[in-house]
Amino acid sequence: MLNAIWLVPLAPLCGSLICMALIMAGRRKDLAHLPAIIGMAIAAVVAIVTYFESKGGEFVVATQAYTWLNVGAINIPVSLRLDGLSLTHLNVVTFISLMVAIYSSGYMKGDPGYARFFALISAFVFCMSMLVLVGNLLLLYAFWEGVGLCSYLLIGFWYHKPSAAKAAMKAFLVNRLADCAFLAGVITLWYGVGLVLDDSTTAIARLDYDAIFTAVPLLAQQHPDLLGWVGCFMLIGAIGKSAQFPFHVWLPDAMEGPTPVSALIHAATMVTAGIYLLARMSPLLAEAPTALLLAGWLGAITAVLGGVIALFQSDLKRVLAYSTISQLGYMFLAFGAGLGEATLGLAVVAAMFHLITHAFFKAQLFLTAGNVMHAMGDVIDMRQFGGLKNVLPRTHILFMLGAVALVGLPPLAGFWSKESILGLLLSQLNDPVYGAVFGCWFALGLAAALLTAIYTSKAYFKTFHGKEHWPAEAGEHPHEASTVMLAPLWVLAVGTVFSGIVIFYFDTLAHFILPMPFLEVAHEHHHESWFLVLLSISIAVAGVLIGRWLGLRKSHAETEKSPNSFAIFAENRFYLDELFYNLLVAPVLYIGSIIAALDMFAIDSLARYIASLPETIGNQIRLWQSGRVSHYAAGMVLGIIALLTIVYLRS
Amino acid sequence: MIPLTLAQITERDITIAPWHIAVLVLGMVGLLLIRASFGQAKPSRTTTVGGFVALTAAFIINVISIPWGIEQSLLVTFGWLAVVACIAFVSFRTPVYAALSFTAIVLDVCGIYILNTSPFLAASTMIVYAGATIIIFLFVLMFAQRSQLQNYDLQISLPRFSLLAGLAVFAGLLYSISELNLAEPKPLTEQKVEALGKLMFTEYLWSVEIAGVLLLIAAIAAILIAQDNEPDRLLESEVTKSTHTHWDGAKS
Amino acid sequence: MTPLTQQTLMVGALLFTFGLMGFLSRRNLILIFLSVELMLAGVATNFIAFGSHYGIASGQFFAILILTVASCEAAIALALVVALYRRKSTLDVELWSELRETAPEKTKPVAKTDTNKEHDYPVLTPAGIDPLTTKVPVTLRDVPAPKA
Repeated sequence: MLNAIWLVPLAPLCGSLICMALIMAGRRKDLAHLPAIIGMAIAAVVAIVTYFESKGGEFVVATQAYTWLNVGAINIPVSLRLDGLSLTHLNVVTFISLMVAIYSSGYMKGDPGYARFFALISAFVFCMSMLVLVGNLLLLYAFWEGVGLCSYLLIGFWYHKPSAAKAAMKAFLVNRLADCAFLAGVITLWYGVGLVLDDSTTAIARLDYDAIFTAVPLLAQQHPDLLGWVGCFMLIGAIGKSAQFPFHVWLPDAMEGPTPVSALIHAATMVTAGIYLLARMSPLLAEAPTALLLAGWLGAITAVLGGVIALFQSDLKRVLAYSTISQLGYMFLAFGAGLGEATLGLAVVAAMFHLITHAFFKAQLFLTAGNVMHAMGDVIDMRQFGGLKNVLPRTHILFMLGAVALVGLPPLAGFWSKESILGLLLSQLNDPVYGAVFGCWFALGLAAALLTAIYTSKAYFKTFHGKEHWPAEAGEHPHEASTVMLAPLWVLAVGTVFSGIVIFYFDTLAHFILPMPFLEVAHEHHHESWFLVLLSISIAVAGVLIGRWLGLRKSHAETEKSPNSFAIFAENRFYLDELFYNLLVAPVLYIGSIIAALDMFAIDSLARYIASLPETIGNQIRLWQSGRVSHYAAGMVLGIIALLTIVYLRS
Repeated sequence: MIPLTLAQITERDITIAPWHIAVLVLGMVGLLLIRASFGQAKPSRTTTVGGFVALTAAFIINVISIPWGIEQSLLVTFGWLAVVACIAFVSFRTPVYAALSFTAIVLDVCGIYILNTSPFLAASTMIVYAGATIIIFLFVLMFAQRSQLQNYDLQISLPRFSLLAGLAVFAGLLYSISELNLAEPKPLTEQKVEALGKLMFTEYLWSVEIAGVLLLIAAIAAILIAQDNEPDRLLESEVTKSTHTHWDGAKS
Repeated sequence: MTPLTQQTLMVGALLFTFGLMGFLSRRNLILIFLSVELMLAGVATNFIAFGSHYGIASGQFFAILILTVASCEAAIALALVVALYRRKSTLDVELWSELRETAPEKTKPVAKTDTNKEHDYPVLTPAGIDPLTTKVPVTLRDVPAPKA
């Protein structure tokens, strides 16, 4: 069955191609969801079966399909690598995308671009699963760009809306900036591996994970600085894709895309590619403590920053977007926690744990927000509706489950994963080198948890409790979502509720990921500290109460109390977008305008002048045609003389 | 191309390159033409005198450079008469005088033909050229000529260019003449006219017949082209008074 | 080369040159043709010279051919002159210059800058719209805003 793993990327790809064929044929485009869903179902089934077959996850299988490049020193085979990390992530990806696809067959019904949507979603799943499965770093980079492309196409799905088009460009360009650093890291690593490994005898591909992990210890001895640089570059690449400060500016604007896109790409799968990269490169990061330190700091800052901004947003989807940013910050914080002695394995496990639970509850939250949006006639501004719990009962329950998981109340999933991260930090407070840093991060993590609780419950209470009202676009009576939209949400709810407990108590993740080759296994899994459990529960409850108060009180528009300056500052996202625009974009545009002027005035003038030369010369020559016989006779004689001269000179 | 020195002239050890003569002759003619193009009816006296001096010098050089004999003196005579007639042809402003000087050229050239053992051709040329072609030209000239000199006769189209072109072409021709390496000359084996007749009717029969056809076609074509389609047209002299300027600038 | 041949060749060259100069400098139609005849005479002289140098009669024969062709040409040329004279009543060749190119008129320069203020970019038919049944938007402004 292991060789059938090729079905996991290929089935969605075939689905995407069939959808594209439907578009080009122009027929039966309303059936486009069938190839996509079938493809993703096949992928999910194969992924799950492979997971259960690989009990314990103590295997590494690489099946090679073909060689992409084999030129001189460059050897890049296309092989899929199955180990615990990739299988885990793959299951998350395929399962969530299946649920989102089923959901969007109801959500996107009637949209003119129905078939295009499913083609793009399937293509995205193909790219993402290949990213996770492929065994070569350069191919990971290739599919990294592939998911970036699909994300661009999906954010700008309604391309004739100028805001959507601009948001898509922004996402792509910010990612591109980070990917430049990533590419620099890949190239440096390629160079480094070439320094210590001898390619000629074994003919290994230099950027295969096996080769990298073999070379890392050697490099750590001979060129430790190089590993530090590579780690930092890869971190920057991961930050771009996973929307951490300062590259987070694209994620809130990416909410211009359809809600299933936000759920799939910008909550569950694409933004986790950065985490996956760091997890995959963890043997390398173990030798690059600078990178881990940076990751931790950026993660902590982002977690708090995202929480603060989310608190002041009035658009439900924006709240969830900033919440995603904040939770991803937690995962980076987990990596930072791996700075201690041989704790990187545990850090990777904690980050992946949070990744899985976050995928479940964030996808659920987004999809229920999509339900609300559908019912409210595409209005998602929380100030315009309220008290929907009796109008949309099932959506209310589902949202509540997701919100409780996000806040981190036991026994739902979010509690266990946040526990593992904060517990890892807490247990290392007395680390000799990084103890103070860990303490700082712990405090920031707790602050972020508090903020998470506050904004989540504020959003929940504002939407579903309080006075019942809805905007005019919702019509007479908002209707609950259809079955095809609710069914996947119930399935996701099961994951939201139980995945945390299951993974925690059966220690599946640790057994699966820790034995990953080349990763040192730390000491035994430490036990929970009850102090931390009580602390986090109390923070969560406090946050919920504060949020309830915030959500149920009258809004500023009704009380006519002007918001204080900090609120304005935070609501405008701390003006970071404007700062980036003025610092980075405007100078480039200015230089571009100068060059455009140069092109228009100088180069175009030159081109036009050259183009006018034949006309000028022709106008001169045509005057020789004077119609006078004597001139023509003179021409003839000149010709004769020239001929004679040539003949004489040649002889 | 050996430059001429006085010693060489007195010792009769001259191999005159033809270009010596050519430069002299043509230089004189050119001066005449250029002066005449500035609107004056007569060329200035300096150019005329200079031209004559150059001509005489050339004549003398030519006479000295070749051995004396009947044939040579006849050759020199006919050649120089032809040159003088050429100059006259190019220089005369009145068309009839130019045509008549053309006749003189033809006559002199026929003399040269006789010296070159081509008596038949000399006779043919005189009869056909001087006797028929020139007559046609004179007829048309009379037909179209006005009583006074017209300005298009007085003016020269391209004075300097024609001089330079003529010089260039002549230089080229003379260069090629001087570089010629002909084989040994052979005398004529049989009677001159008989030889020509044999050729014409055996080897070149085709060409003769085609030439005959060509003449026929030319005759028919000339008749057709010169047909008058409007025989009742008023002559121009009956319609308007002539407003052409004369050579002295007065209008009629 | 014998002096006879050389002198004859020279005379031929002179005749040709004078014919050329006359051809270039004359304005009278008939005299132009006459200069052409002079050139032909020069060429015939050359033929005669070479023929007599080698003692064969081909030179004379070709001179006869030249003579023939010159006569034909003179006949037709003068017929043409007569026809032309009937049109314009003058023998001036400068007056016949209708087949000529005049100087081009000044054209207005092409606009240097793009004066199109609003760029209507071409719009691809949005996905999912059948152009045969739905009105295809012409500009971006015509596309209706989407729902959800």
